Amino acid sequence: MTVPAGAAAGAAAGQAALLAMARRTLGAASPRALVSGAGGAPMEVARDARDEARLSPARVIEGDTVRAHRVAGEPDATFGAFLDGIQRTERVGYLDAAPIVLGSVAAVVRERHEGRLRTWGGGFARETRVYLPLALLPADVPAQFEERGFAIADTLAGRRDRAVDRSAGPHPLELERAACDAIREHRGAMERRLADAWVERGPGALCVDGPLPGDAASRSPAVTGVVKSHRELQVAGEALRVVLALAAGERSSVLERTSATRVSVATWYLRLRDPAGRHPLWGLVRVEAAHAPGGDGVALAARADAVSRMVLAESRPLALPDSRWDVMVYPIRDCEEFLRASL
Amino acid sequence: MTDSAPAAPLGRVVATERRPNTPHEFHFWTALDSPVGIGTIVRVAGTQAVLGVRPVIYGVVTDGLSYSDLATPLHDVLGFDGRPAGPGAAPTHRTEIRLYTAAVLRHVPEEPLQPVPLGEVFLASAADVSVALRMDGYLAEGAQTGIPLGVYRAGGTDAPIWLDADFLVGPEAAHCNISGVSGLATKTSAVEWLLASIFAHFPASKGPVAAVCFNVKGPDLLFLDQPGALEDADRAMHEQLGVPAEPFAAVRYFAPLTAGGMSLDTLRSHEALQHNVSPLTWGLREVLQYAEVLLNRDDVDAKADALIDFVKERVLDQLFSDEVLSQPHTVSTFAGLEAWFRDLLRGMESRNQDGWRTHHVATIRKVRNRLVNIATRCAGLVTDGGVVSDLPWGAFDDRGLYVVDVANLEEDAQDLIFARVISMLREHLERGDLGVRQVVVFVDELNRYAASDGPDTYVRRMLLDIAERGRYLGLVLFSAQQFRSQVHRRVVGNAGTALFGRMDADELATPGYAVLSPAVRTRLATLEKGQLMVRHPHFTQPIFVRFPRPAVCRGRDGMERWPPAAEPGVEVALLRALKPLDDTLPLAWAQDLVALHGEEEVLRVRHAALRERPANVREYFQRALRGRAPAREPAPAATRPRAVRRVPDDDPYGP
Ligand SMILES: Nc1ncnc2c1ncn2[C@@H]1O[C@H](COP(=O)(O)OP(=O)(O)OP(=O)(O)O)[C@@H](O)[C@H]1O
Ligand SMILES: [Mg+2]
Repeated sequence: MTVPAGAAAGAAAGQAALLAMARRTLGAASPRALVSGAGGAPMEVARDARDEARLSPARVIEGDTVRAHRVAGEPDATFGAFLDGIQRTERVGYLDAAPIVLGSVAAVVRERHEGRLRTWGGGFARETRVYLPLALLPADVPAQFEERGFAIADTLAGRRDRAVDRSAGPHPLELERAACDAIREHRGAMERRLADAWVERGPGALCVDGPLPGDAASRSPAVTGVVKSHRELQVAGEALRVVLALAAGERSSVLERTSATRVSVATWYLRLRDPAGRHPLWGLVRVEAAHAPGGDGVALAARADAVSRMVLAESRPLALPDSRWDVMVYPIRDCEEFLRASL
Repeated sequence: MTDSAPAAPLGRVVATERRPNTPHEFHFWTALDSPVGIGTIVRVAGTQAVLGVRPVIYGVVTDGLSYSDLATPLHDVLGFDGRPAGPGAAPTHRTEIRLYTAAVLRHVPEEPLQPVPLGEVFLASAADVSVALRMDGYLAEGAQTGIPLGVYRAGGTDAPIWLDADFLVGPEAAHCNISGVSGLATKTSAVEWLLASIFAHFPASKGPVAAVCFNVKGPDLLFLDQPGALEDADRAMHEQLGVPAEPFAAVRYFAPLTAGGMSLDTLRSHEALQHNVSPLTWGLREVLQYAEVLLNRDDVDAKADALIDFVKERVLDQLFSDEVLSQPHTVSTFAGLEAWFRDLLRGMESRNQDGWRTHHVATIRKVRNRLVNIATRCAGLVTDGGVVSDLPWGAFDDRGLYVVDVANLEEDAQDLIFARVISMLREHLERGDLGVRQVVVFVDELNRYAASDGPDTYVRRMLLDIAERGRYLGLVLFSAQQFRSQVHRRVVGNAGTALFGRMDADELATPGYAVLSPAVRTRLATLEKGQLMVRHPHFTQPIFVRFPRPAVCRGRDGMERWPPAAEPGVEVALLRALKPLDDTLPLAWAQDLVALHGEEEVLRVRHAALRERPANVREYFQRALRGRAPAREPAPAATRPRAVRRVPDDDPYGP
């Protein structure tokens, strides 16, 4: 499942070594190349600032309006595994107006065994690619990267203006952003692959960081997504007021999240911790689970409660010192630490 | 070194810029359930060949760390809402690490000496231990000088630890010192075990070996020829190390007489154990040679020294006449010396002389007082009658153990015995006519005899001398004390092998232990009985070992099984003393003699008989006592009861 960066680059070589090699390759490719040095703002941050907060209300499928429900019963620690992925985007340099970007992605499923987490067999993947706008570069440049064992990807792939005119290409920062998007997409695909594998052969319940990845996961009762960020809220108006007023241990009514490109899923808000003295979104997560259409309302509520109990059980140990510890469960932090150590 | 079954690694070497590895130290982490602990020996398999060879590094764990991903303890408090009994167990355990530091024991190959590389870490097998401690050098076929000290155990490894006889008994290095708190450190037991091990394994090529032990405390060493209570584990370890689980076969005990002169001053006085107990008694000649031991430096000036030398050379054991004396003297006993001085001083007085042959009368008086005093201070050891009974100089047996019991003696007598026995050993070894080529001398409670502070005594100088030069002669010092810091630095410093049992925290805080990591010190402070830490010239780091209980009867147990005999009546004592000359003498004969002539008179003749060793003892007594008036009152023949057990510091029989 793992596609190594290449024989020369070595599957086990760290990100720093790969970056150094990529920069040497670029330097060797052309005397005009401007090779980036250490430092500079991380490329992801530049991208995130662009995202805007927005409201996109979803349909209520448990009752008629969004209400607060106390989650009945004791927390229930039955998640057997956790999935998360990360990405690293680094500027290799420029050749003329063409940015060349190194993107590494990795994802892991960590299985819980007697309270300790370990990597699920086959549940780890890591890939690195060099992103180049091929149309703007002489053909021998990508060839040299390939020769050194790098996998290469076209930054312009999927863009309408692919056959750009060399003399009037797109804005270089836009090309950088396109590379970032491609890398994010790469990571999403990798997470999807791991989730699919879990749905196929994983034993027990899987908790995923973020929305449910892919169709198989969106249909499987074994997978739960826990969304920490609320840039896009699924409620508005009165429903939003109800959600922001949820007390610790309460969940909202279940909504149906639909999208043109994804299988629709059931989703609800759940308050993990008391936000007194903080912020209305503090300790609030959005849970995603497979939506079994046709089930009656009682079954839907029971399932939302059962899944909520599983998520609530993960509120300890705290994921500190991560700044998102109010919403991040500890095993997801463990996945991140694992991935950071392996990138 | 390859193992028959390739074991799984139990750790991995890690190095960071902040915590780098060096040629002498490295770090590794292990699984949480790994059997590694302080003192565990490990092997690192380097992955990168250097000059065509993949390096293998051996190390011993000296420190350990554990921590979790918690950034501050406060976060744990938050996680439990401030309540330790908290809301039940969390479903996931925090990530934690076991990070160990190991000190390098050996690099293979030894050159080039580089920092320890990254690599897998394995538990050392028995074969690895042998290489790591360089024991392979002296355990190889043909070069066998190994003396087993104990076993190293960790994980599944159970490896014998050998000392090198060339470095324990000489000539490369020598001496062994052991420290540790009373009762828990098993110091005395460890030395007994080590002597048994030496006797079992000492290489024939190095010639015969014997041991002289000074019993300085209670009944400690008085039953070394008797079997002790062993557990199965002790027996198994004896077997594993090839040391027979049996008491010493050839032990001889020596003790001076009690002040009363009736019996030997030792707790080994049970009737059933007398076959190998002999008196230790010296006469004037033996004592004068070591007079300086007992004479305080401050009051024996050069003038006194000159007179003592004069007595030694011109008066002792020869016919001496002088115009000042009323008659010629042949001085060979303290009594004779006393008579000589009396005659001399009286002669000077009558002639109104205040000097004699360059000696001033005051010096003569002083020397007389000091010398004659010795007989009183060391009564029991120094016989007035001049009977000499001594260690078998010149006839020491291979694997013989000679125990000199000085536990009940005054300090003066102890010093005299140490000084003379050690000097005699030295002289005989120098001349090569002791009977054995090397002798191990065991001195327990060394802090009493070679204190780091306190006066510069003759005994301390002597111990220093053995420590510094003994190994060339085959004179080896095994010593024990509670606090190493209280012993003269050069005495312990010259011990090639140092053993440590359970240590006291205050002692561990002294500068001598600063080289040990806090973790190793903690382990030393918590060692169980039967565990030791050893330093030996071949081992680059201290190693922890276990040893078995020695297969000899402990002093305390011996006292219970063989309680000391009541001090015998003079008649029994007389028969016992004369037994070597004539073992047919009946008790009635002795009773008649004492009844007729009185104790004192009979004892006087006994001394003379022992000195002259007549062929017919009865006739000799008859002749000697003939014509002397029978005592007016028969001496009481009642036996004097003797305490069954005696606490060393509370000696009810001290003079
Ligand atoms: N290998 C052993 N394993 C377990 N116990 C032992 C071992 N060797 C000796 N012991 C026990 O430990 C106790 C103390 O032993 P020992 O008298 O040798 O200590 P010590 O350090 O000489 O004490 P002290 O300072 O009082 O003279 C004894 O009771 C003995 O039986
Ligand atoms: Mg002792």
